[in-house]
Amino acid sequence: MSNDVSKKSERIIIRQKETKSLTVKDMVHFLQFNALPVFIFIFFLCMAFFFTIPHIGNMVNKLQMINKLSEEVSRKDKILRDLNQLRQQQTLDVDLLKNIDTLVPTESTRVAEFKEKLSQIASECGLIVVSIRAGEIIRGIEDQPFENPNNLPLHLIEIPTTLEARGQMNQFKEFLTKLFEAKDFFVVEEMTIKKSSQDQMWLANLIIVKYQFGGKVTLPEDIEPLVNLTPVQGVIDFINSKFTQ
Amino acid sequence: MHRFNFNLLPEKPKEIIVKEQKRESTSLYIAFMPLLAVIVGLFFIFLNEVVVQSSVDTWQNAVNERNKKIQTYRTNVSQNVEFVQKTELLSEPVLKDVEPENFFDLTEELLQKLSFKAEIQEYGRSPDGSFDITLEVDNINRTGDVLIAFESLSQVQLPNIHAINRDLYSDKADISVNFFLIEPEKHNP
Repeated sequence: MSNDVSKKSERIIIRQKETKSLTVKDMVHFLQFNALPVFIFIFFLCMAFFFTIPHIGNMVNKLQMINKLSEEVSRKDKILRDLNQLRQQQTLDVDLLKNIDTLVPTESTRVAEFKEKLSQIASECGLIVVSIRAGEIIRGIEDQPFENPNNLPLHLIEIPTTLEARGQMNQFKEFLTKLFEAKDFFVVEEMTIKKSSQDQMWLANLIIVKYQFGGKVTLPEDIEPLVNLTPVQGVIDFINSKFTQ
Repeated sequence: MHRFNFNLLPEKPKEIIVKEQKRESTSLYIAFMPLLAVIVGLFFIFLNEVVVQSSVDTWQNAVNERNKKIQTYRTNVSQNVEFVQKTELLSEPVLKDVEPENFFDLTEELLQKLSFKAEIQEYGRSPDGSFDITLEVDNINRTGDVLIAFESLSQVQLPNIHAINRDLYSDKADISVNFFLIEPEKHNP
């Protein structure tokens, strides 16, 4: 009886082993059977990932580049239109530009010239010039470091002339009116015209500032951001109303 | 020569034959996939190199051409930058410019407005652009009237009395008024 049981169990173990070996065998068989399609599929994936998709990506990039370039062309066309308009405007502004250059010259210092002119007008009006002295103050480049003084950016040079004079009030009025009539741009920065306690004379201390441009405009390589700069309209109106005949 | 056509091998089971047929058809389809990938890849190479690249080149040339054109306007831009910078630099001095005639006319107008006797002792201008007038009046109580007279002038802005000096031996006083003068035609830059 016990012998029978052991034989049965042995048979079961053998069957189990056979089943197991069959499964491995089947696996190997399956791989041998499908090796070619699997290999081809892997080859396809390689082709797709390393050949086809990169070229699709490349084309998408190029299409995006075309889009950007077309936008760039439209932007540049607009800049060209603006530049054309600017050129036309400049032909209209010639007189204004000449006026600015005359009123506020861009050349070597005019200190002595202006001092001379003030002294002459004061004498013409009958004023007694007690003292007259001039100097130069550079404005507009205080915060900018510069190494070479020849390469300074455009800046404003103030030429303050301090004039001390004596005379009648109507002579001072005439002096100031004549200065303004001279079609020259200057500003009476400080003024004290005081009545003398001893006689009927008036004592004046005037700081009259004349302006001059110094330095030069240097353009960067890329001029596009500078195309749409607009001048200060108030200054244009002022020059047109006061100095354009 | 006579040829016998028979197979001595045992016949394959039907199940295997079906499996083999299925594998063969799958293999056939799969074999087309790399070919398709190559064809699609080549199609895109062609499209890239012939159609898209030429279009890129055309657009790039258009951009370059416009860049060159823009550079021909360099002188105009330089002139404009100079013009703009000059107006910017002049904007502050322009605000300070007041014709003396306006100032003296204003003092005349002021004296006419006053109902009492007043004499101008001093005319002045400060660096901030404001003006000063020192008036000698017969009574210190006239201070308010002087300020009211200044305020009634349309060209005067922000009048304020900044000094009063009284004569110890008489009622006379010197009143200094500081104010800004607006020129009616001047625009604010």
